[in-house]
Order: sequence, then structure tokens, then C-alpha cells
Amino acid sequence: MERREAMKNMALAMGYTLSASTLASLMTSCGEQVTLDWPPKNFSKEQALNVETLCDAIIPKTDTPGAKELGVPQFLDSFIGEVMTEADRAAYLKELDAFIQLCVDSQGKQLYACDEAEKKAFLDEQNAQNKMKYPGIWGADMVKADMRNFFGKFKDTLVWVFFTTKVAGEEILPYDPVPGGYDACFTITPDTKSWSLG
Amino acid sequence: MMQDQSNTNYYDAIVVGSGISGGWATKILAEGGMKTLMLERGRMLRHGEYPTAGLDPWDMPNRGVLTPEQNQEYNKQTRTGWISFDNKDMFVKDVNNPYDEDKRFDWIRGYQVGGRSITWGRQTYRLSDLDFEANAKEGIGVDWPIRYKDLAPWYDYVEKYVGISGQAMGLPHLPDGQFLPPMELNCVEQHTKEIIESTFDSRYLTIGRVTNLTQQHNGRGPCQYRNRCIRGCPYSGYFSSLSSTIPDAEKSGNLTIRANSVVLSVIYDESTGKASGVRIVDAETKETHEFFAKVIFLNASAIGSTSILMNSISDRFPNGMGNDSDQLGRNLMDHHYRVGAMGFIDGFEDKYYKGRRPNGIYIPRFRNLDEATKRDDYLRGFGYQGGAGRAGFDQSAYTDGYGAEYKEQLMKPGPWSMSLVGFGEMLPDPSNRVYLNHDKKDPYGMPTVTFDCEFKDNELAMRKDMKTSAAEMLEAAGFRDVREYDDLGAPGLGIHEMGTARMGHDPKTSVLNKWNQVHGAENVFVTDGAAMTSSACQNPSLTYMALTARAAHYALDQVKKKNL
Ligand SMILES: Cc1cc2nc3c(=O)[nH]c(=O)nc-3n(C[C@H](O)[C@H](O)[C@H](O)COP(=O)(O)OP(=O)(O)OC[C@H]3O[C@@H](n4cnc5c(N)ncnc54)[C@H](O)[C@@H]3O)c2cc1C
Ligand code: SF4
Repeated sequence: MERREAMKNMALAMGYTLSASTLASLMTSCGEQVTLDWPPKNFSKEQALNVETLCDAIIPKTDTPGAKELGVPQFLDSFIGEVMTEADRAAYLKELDAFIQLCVDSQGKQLYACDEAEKKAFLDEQNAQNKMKYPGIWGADMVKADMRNFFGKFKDTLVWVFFTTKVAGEEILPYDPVPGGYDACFTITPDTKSWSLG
Repeated sequence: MMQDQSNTNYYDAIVVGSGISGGWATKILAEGGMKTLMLERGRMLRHGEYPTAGLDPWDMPNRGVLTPEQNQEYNKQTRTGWISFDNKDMFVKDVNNPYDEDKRFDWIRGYQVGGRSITWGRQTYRLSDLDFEANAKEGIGVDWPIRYKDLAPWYDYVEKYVGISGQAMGLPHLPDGQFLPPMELNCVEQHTKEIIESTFDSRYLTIGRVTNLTQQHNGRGPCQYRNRCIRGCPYSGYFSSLSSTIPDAEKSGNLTIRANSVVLSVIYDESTGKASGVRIVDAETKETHEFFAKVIFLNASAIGSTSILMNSISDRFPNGMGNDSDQLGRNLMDHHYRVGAMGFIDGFEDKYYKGRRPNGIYIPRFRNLDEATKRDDYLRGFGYQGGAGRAGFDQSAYTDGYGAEYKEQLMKPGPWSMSLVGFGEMLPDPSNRVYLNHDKKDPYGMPTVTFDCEFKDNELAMRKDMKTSAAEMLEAAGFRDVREYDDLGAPGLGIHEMGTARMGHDPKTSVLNKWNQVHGAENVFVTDGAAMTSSACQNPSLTYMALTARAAHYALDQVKKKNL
């Protein structure tokens, strides 16, 4: 099981961060808010604005913090600098640019410049085109062909990064670092959340 | 070569390697009163020195994902797909420990005191006479020189000390052992077990037999269900040399551990017809030393011990120590795996579990047990590991949508799925081998090894059945979207490499005798995976432990009788 558990975590990272194509995408919130309050190291300013918008759209602030509050865009900016080779990063950023262009083609502007309705129109489109992935087992991929579009791949990475922030891991999801035993089967309520550590 | 004559170079016994088998040899020899020197090529490591054991994902740089530079350093270990920040220091840096491949071979190693006993998956299953008799019955390879009855008391012996949780089943081909209370199956696993056992003859599903302690045992554990064993366990919740055999051996006062000691060869004394000691390079100073003893145990793992024998050249053994048969390095085996199926199941949405159980399920072999289960398309058989679980936020990959609702959904327990992963037997074949490349030395002056090994027709035919049988069981149990998969990889990936100095009756066709003594140098014992005459399909390390315990007691006895 060690292998399987380790893979579950790695697969999320590798599926998208280590392969030639990786994470992310673009866009920022709606029309008014088009400034970036942090200096990106690996994204261009425009890419960063789009990434931030996309993060906020996928994991928004609700009664718990969203991806933007928890600094996920900044993490992604540094992450692609650290874990990708230059060639992989270039390929990834190219995919990101292509994704940004898709929004321009669809809505006449970049994601971060879209208003809520335009954003929704574009992301609904992207979501519909994305194919579900089948989970892998112990490092073996169940489906050879890459069926995820950029939006889907970005989502996987973003979700993984978001839920492995300290805040999400210790406060948003139930955190149980030393379970001390195994309760093999209990009945849950509608409020039961999934464990933070998988 | 300079010979260091100081007294400290003389011992009663030398054990090469500190992993699962070396820990056992050391414990038995030292506790038996032998002044014992343990030589380990890797760094010193003490129980409790597990710096990543308590780290959560957010505590690690880049969430644990390695940088391209780190990936390059571990470029072969990373073929497993799961080398990351939390475990990398327990595996070798390939750049410093090179090997070559005529055909791809994934040699996954841990060089440190404790070896791979720190990182192993802890699954422990006995072999049976179905396994020990197979070669002789089918005319494959050579006959094992032992039978189950020879090993059974030694399985008992090591199990009592190690502590293995598991369920007794009464199956002749997967003998029960000395078990601590089993871990529990979760509800989907329990459901699947009931359907499989009521639908298919000879098929059973049980909880894995594992060295994780379900209760305190010999002052260790119990396991806290954190599933971080690969990083080392501060609770001593599972069996490793560091947590048990080595500290217990030290209590005898007879053990000296010398880390950073790369053993190059065994020294053969033509006048006595025995080995006199070993030659090492100190990994830090690069100085050569010699150490001498009456008895030498090679426990450097299958390929490690084999390469030391190959590099032990003398007038008597021009082709490597014990290699009169030309079988040294041949019959390399592993288990073939990463084949099976997975699927989702509905109807258990209101059920969940607490704790990260470091263990899965086991479906014992059900093919070629007898006439009723005989297959025409391949010999031997396979077992399945795997398990069921509920997705957490990783359900993102197969969850549609984005936004607030999507976020809420990811925070709820996701769909249940179950995977079955086959582990199949690999037949011994002399053309599957490893050999020394004398033209290319490692940084310590040891010739590097080259692998020439592949899965052959029997394994490939078996895989088809492993795939369809897995899917058939999941479908019978009501899983939906069942997918078969077959990701052959390469030998080595099972991390059960073995067979390169096989035991046998006849020095003309084998390297070791029935007590694991090297033919022609009987004070040299090899009791790691190299000794295996066939691979069976069970995880092998428990058998290495039992072979080691048996041979070490035999060695003690022979020393006492002055035969060694
Ligand atoms: C992730 C993983 C999961 C596994 N899961 C399982 C499982 O569930 N069940 C199972 O049965 N097995 C499993 N294994 C395999 C198991 O780890 C090995 O079978 C076992 O460790 C072999 O024991 P050993 O004593 O032969 O070698 P090792 O434990 O590898 O120890 C060998 C030691 O010898 C040292 N050495 C090598 N060469 C030299 C030299 N020239 N001089 C001095 N020292 C040397 C090494 O540094 C090492 O410390 C797994 C392995 C891994 C990595
Ligand atoms: S799961 Fe158990 S044995 Fe493994 S590291 Fe945690 S406490 Fe130790």
C-alpha cells in the first residue's frame, strides 16, 4: 500500500507538473480587477493574471479561503521554476499561452479581463471539452492517451496544491496526523468531510 | 595489497550487508557468542534518525516533488514513479552507483545501515511445497535442495520475533504463520471478499500479512496507522533491521558495525580451501582494508552478493567464487506485476474509514494448484494485492466542474474504488543474467554490473490471465467502469530481484548447497535473494529471513563442532 499511497500523491503532481505539458492556465477575476500584487518569477505578468483568475474561478473563496487567498498562484509560479526542466517549462508556458488565446478567440479578451458572464461562458466550454481521467494504480497509468485538456490538467494540479497548503490541510479538512488505529467502516453524515491526509 | 594485522581485523564472523537478511544473520551470530563484524557500504543510520517521518505535504519543498537535478541524480530509482523528497535519502543516487543494461532492468536499492528493510512494503507470505517442488516436477531449472518441512520451523522462529499481523486461512499452498491479530478489511473489501469466495472456486480474499504490529510486540509498536513507513517509523511500528535485529544484536556485546565499507571481494585461502576474509574499500577515505573471520555471510542483496562472488577471483575460482557451474549471475528473477484491474462501486456512499492502514488485501494464488485449477497456457501462478478506498480531494481528476460547488464536492468523501494488482512468478532461465563489466569500475574500484534479463513467454501468457481474472472478480462483485491494465515495465521493478547464486543439490548446476554454503568454500554463506532456486509469486523477504536464520544456526553449530 505504501507504493499506492505514494503514487496517489505523486500522480497528481507528475500527471501535470513533470510531464512536458503541465499545470495551469490563466485568467484573473473580472474586468475591474486587473492588477497583480505580486511579482511573478516564471510567469509573465499577463500569464500570472490569467493564472490567478483561473485559480479563483476553480477554487473560490466560500466560507473557507479560496486558492487565491492561500497563495496558490504564487506557489505555482515558483513551482514551475523549481520542478520543471527549462524545456518542460517552456512547453508548459506555451500551452498556457494557447489556453489564454482560446479565451480570446471565444470571448474576445483574456480571461482576467472577462466579466463574470464571459468567464463562465468560456470555462463552461473548457469544462465540457475536458475528459475525465481514470485513476492510476501504483504508478501504472490506466489510460495511456492524455485525455485531459489544459483546463482539466490545471485543475488537477491546482486542487492538489490547494488542499496540501497548511491551512487547507490542517483547518479546512479534518487533519489526523497520528490516527493511532483503524476504524474500518463507520457511517457518515452529510457533513462528514474527507481526510486531509490520503 | 597491504595487510593490516591489528587484532581488530580478526573476528569470528563477518556479515556483509545490514538489510533484512544481514540484520538476521548478525543477530543470530552475535547472540550465539561470535564476535561479529557487520560491513555496510552505505552511511551509518540509527533507529529514530528519520528526519522526514513527521513531515506533512506542506512541510516539504515543492510539496515533495523533486527538482530536475534531483531526478537526474536518481534517474533509475525514479522509474518506480514514487521517489520523492520524503523517501529519496533511503535510496541510492544512481549517479554515484552506476550500472548498465543490455536490456532495461530497474535496480532499486537502498545503501545505508538498514538497507531496504527501512523502505520495504512489509508484505510477508510463506512459500509452500507447491513452490519447493515445482522445478523438479516440471523439469525447470534445478530442484530446490530443501522442502517446506525444512523451512517451516524457521518461518515460525523469525515470525515470532518479527511480529506479523494476518489472518490464518488453512490453505496448504499459503501456509499460516505465527500471526498477531489481523488488520481489518474496510466495507468494500469485505463485500468483495464475500462475493469472490461465494462465486469462484479456490479464490479467497484476505487482509495482507504484514510486519506492521497490531499490538505491542517485543517492546515495539503498535502501529499508529499513519502509512508513512517508507520514511522510517519512530514508533517502531513495523519490522526493520534498525528497529529490531541490529539493536538486539548489539546488546550481546559481540557486534561491531562498520559503515561506509564497500566489500569488493572474498579472500580465498588455497591452503585451507576456505575463505579467510573480505577485502573492502572505505567509502570515505578510499583506503583498502582486509578483515578476517571463520565464517562469512554475504547479505548484500541478491545482485550485491553475486557481484562480490564474481569479483572474488583465485586460482581455485578463476570465474568467481563458487562458480564451477557457470550459474553464478544466471537465473535472475523478479516478480512481474503492474497488471490487473480497477473499478468503482456504488452503494457504500454512507460508509467511510478512519486511519491510514499501511496494508492492503491479498488474494492468494488460485491457478495450477491441482488438476482442477490447471492451465494449459502457462506454468505456476500469481497472487493479487491492492485494496479499496474512497477518494479524497484527488477525485478532482474524475470530477466534473469548477467553482464553489466543485470545491464543496472535493471536500466530501469521493467515490469508492478498488484495485487488484497481480504479482506473478517468473521462471528461472539461465539466459536471464547479470555480469561484471571489468572495464567500468564504480567510484570505489568495484567492477560495475550489467543486466541482460527479460520477461519471457510464460510470464507474458500469465499476464493475460492476471488481467482478465482481476476484471472478472471486480465485475462479479458489482464494480462499474472496470478497467484492465497491463504495464509490463521491466524486470527489477517488482524489487524482488533474486536467483543469481541458486541453491541446489549438485555443485555442477548450482552455486549454494542446502545450507546456503558456497560450493567449494563452505565457510561462505549466501542467504539473501541470490539463493532462490525459483521465485514463487509471494513477496520473498520472509523466506530470506527464514533461510538466514536456518543457515546462521547451522553455522554456529558447525563452528562449535569445529567443522568450520
Ligand atoms: C519499496 C519497496 C517495497 C518492497 N516491498 C516488499 C514487500 O512487501 N515484501 C517483501 O518481501 N519484500 C519487499 N521488498 C523487497 C525487500 O526490501 C528486499 O527483498 C529485502 O530488503 C532484501 O533483503 P537483503 O538483506 O537481501 O537486502 P537489502 O535489504 O537490500 O540490504 C542489503 C544491504 O547490503 C548493502 N550492500 C550492498 N552491497 C554491498 C557491498 N558490496 N559491501 C557492503 N555492503 C553492501 C546495502 O547497502 C544494503 O544495506 C520491497 C522493497 C522496496 C524497495
Ligand atoms: S503506519 Fe504504522 S508502522 Fe508505518 S510509519 Fe506509521 S506508525 Fe509506523
